[in-house]
Amino acid sequence: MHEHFHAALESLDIQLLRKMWAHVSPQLPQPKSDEEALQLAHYARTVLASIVFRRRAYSHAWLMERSLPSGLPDGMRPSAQRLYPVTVGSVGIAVRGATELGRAVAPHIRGAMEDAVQEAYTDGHKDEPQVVKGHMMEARRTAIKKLLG
Amino acid sequence: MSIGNDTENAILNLVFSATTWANYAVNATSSPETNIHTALMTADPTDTGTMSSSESAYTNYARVNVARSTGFSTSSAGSVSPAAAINFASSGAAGTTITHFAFGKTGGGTAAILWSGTVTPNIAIGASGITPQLTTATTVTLD
Repeated sequence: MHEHFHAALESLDIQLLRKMWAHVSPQLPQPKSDEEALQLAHYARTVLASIVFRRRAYSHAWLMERSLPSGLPDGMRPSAQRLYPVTVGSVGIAVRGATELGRAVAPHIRGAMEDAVQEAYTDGHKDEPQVVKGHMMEARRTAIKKLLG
Repeated sequence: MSIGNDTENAILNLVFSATTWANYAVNATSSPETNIHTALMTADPTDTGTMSSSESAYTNYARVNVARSTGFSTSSAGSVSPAAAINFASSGAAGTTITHFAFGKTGGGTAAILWSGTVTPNIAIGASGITPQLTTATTVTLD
């Protein structure tokens, strides 16, 4: 079983990992979703010395890009980051009103745009800035209409 | 009282793309700013702040230039965006979380802010080797 579990971790076979974990340790907490299981699998790969370094480095980069904790030892991180540099792409939102009314509603408009970014990222559009911007601008239009009619 | 849409676009294009605002304003003819500096912050610099207010200080951090000639989209519906993603230096060690950004005057130190805003999602500099990036979805608006 240990070998199969290790192989599933190496290949990131999430369905198999969830089945084996439920079978071996039913008394322990189980991942609530495939996404949570994937995060746990990546973390486990960074911790286990028996996993091939390249895969540990990949999991480290995967976790860093999502601002999740990595278990990769500090001494291994420079090598891992040379293999898989981590770029964290975010969206800057600067909303300025030139009039008193514009300044008053700006934080609300910006908040709506921030929510739209978060939703777009959650929906898997992180690497599609045009899609993200489309959602943001729609949220801006909606917020302006709601606030100012 | 509000500002007309054409006027909003003209002001943004003049500031971010050095584009003449027909019949009203031209880009500075003597020593014009050729770049806009981009800074990352760990808190809101506020309207009274400068480019160095709450500025990030993670190891290797430096402000990034974006050219006014080609660096920004043409303003539409009162908003502009960078034409390409803005990449900052890769972190050399763990640092504090980035929550805000600013576009401002070049020159370093306490240069004036043009526009500032939030960074969504925030960028945690949790280790060395993190390259913060503002994507082309980054948006500056004037209403």
